[in-house]
Formats: sequence, C-alpha cells, structure tokens
Amino acid sequence: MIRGWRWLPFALPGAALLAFLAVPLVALVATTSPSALRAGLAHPLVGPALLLTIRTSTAAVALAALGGLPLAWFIARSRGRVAAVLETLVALPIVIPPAVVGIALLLAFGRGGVFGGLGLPFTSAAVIAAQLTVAAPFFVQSAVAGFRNVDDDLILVAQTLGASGVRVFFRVVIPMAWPSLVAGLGLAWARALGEFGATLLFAGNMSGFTQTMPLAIYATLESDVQAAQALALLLAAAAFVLLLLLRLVPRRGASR
Amino acid sequence: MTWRVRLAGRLGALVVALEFESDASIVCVVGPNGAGKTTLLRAIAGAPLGLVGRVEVGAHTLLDSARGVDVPPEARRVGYVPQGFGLFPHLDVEANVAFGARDPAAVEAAMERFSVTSLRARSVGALSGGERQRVALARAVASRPACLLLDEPLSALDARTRRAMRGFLAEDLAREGTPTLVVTHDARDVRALGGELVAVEAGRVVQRGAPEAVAARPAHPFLEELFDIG
Repeated sequence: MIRGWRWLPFALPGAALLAFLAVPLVALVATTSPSALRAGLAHPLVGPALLLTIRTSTAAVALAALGGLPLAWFIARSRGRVAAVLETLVALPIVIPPAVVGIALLLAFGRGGVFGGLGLPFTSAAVIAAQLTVAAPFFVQSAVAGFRNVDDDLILVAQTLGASGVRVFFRVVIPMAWPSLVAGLGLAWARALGEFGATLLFAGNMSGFTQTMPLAIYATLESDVQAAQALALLLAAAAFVLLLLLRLVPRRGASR
Repeated sequence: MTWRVRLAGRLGALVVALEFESDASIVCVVGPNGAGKTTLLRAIAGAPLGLVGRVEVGAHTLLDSARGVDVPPEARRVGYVPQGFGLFPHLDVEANVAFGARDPAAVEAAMERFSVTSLRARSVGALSGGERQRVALARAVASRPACLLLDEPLSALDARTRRAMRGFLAEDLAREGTPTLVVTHDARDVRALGGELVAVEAGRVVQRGAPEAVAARPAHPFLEELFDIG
C-alpha cells in the first residue's frame, strides 16, 4: 500500500478514465424515459432490425462454432510454424478495420470477384458473412486457448481406456475446455451484434434484409433520435447481459 | 518374455535410447528427474512422441517400427495412471471408473477392488489424494488392460496414506499378476513391490536387475543415493 497522499497522482487519472468510460453509458440510460423508449421502439425500422440482427448473429455464431471447433482443435494440436501462421491468419480480422473487411468481402464475392457467381452481396447472407468474418476469430482464439489447457495426459488416459479420437474430443476435450468455449461464443456474439462497417459496405442498409440494429441506429439517428436511442439501449443491454452470463459460467474443468 | 522394450529418438534435449527386457511381472523404473521415465511410460501407452523401435508386452506387439506396426493407444489395452492421476474433473467417480469399460461387472469389481464403491457419486474434486489415486487405479483396471503403467503412484500422497497404499498395492499387484511398470523415486516402493529394477539416466537404461542386487552394487551415483535414503 502507498501511504499518505502519495497515491493521489495514481488514483486521479485512473478515476478520470473510469468516469470517462462510464459517462456515455450513464447518459444513454439517463436521458431516456419509459415513454420515450416505448415510442422509440415503435419506429417502423426497429422491429425488422431487431429480428434481422437476432437471426443473422445467431447464424453467424453457429457457423463460427461449427467451423471454429475443428479449426481451433487443429491449431491447438499443431506445433511450431504451422500453428503460428494459422493463429496469425485467424487473428487478422480482429485487427483489420471492419471497413477493410467489407471491401475485401466485396472484392472476393462481389460482381466480377472470384466468387461473384454466388450473388452474395446486398443479401441477408452477406450480413451473416460480414458478421462471421469479424466474429469467428474471437471464438477460435478462445477455443484454442481452452484446448491448449487440456492436459495431454488426460487425452492419453482417455485413449488408453479405449476411446476413439471423436469420443475423446466430445467426452473429455470439449467438457474440459467448456468455459473457454462459452466465453468465445459470448465474445463472438457480442462482436456479431455490433458489426457495422463491413455489413454496411458488403450488405448495404436495406430495412428487413440487411439493416441490422447498428445500421438502423445510423439510419434513424438523423430523423428520430428516440428510435436510435431505443436501439442503442437494446444493444447495450444485450451486451451487458452477455457479459454477466459469461461471468456466471461455472468454472468446471478448471479444477483438477 | 514379459517386457521387451527398445525405443530410440529425440525429445527436445533428451536423446532416448531405452532398451530392456524382463521376465518379471512387476518392473520398477527409477532415475533422476528428466531421465526419461515418464517418456518411457507414455511411449508404451502410445503417445505420439515420434520414438521408433519395438515394444512388446507379453504376447502383444504394441510397436514395431521396422514392420510398420504402431498400435494406436485405444487398441493397446494398457492401463495408464499418470502423475497426478489424470482423473476427468467433469465426471463423478463412477463415470471416471466406467469411462471406456465395456462390462458393468468389471466396473463394479474394479471399484470393490480399490474400495471406492462408496465414493461412486462423489465429484472427483472433492476427493482426498488417497481416494483420487484409488479411483485412478480402479479406472485403469476396469477396462481389463493387458498391462499397467503407473507413474509415481505413491508420491502425491501424505506419508501415512503412502505407507498404507504401498502395502496394499504390493499385495494387490502380486495377487492379480497383471504385468506392471511402476515409476518411483522411493527405494521403499522398490523393496515393497519387488520384481525387477530398471535404472534410467539421460534417456538410457544404466542398470537392471533384482533390487537387492542393484542395491548391493549400484552402478550409478543416483542409485547409491536412492538406496541410502531407503
């Protein structure tokens, strides 16, 4: 412990940052009222955006898990250069700006692109594609960390007891990495919910088809601040609940 | 010949050239830390360590690199109990013992044999060290293995439990007669378990024989120390 008043130079900037982080969230909640919230939610763009966001983000997270589990397992079991290269590739969409991801998706799947024949751009599937690209890395990274934590000896024991590779994976590896997998799903979902830039460029901003909640905030902000704020509150609440649930995940598998 | 082992290869800084044969049902493997004792056990269990050579236990050939034979771990029928026992933390005692066992009667018999029947519904995390060890042993024998591989089975126990368990294990292994490889750091384990001693140092076998014979003429300083303390 730092005694006297000498802790003040440390505490002040820390408290200032905390306040700065909290103020916008407080403003978001404090400047609305139940009636304004109801009025905002009644805006014609809100309902379709909410449904579309739930549908597309669920699909994106499901696809991230489906492909991410085997990919993460492969990365976790590889050693040296192969693992390093794969990990870097998977992490790239996290650091690349979403607008760049959007342009890249257009160049690959847009008219004249390599996969232009799929007719993907400006459809709901394009929304899922954009969300999948930015969200999947969070799941894969978390899953790799979880898989690496599973003791090799436990896997070997399970094998010597006669379990095949598939059985070992589902009966031992997945349960033991469970907290990491759930955390990865939560992070991926939060990222998919908030996806804006890549969606705007690759999928467009059409209500009911490609206008997710972040895009609807953007669309309603100029004409109807109440609607924008209601959408923002919904997204913030969803993120908060997600974070809370992640904290409550039982840490099974963590103890030996 | 009960045990016929010849393993070669490289694991990080350790150059492995392990070779021994023994007719003893129980073989105690001793050696300093990092000598390759655990590697030996894991290689026999079938871990993908990249070692080549030949491993035979009784009539079973587990590895024969020259003939392209490398039986996968799930088909080797070895009962492996790693250091720290390797229990599955997400399963209760009974599910641990039953993991991989095909015959429910064998599961019951294994739990009886190691006195863990009364713990069957307990969570593994709630067990004492001695209980965990008995569960691990019960699980290893429940799938009726052709041999047992025990990595320092007594070292994680407190002194009193260790004494009791040493006597129990010696009696149990002698009665059942399953070929067993035991890694240990303790001369008292070697004396109690009997069988043959295989001394490993820096990836090779430096001495082999009856414990009394090795104790009488230790070929390596660590063996002198081992039997001094005992």
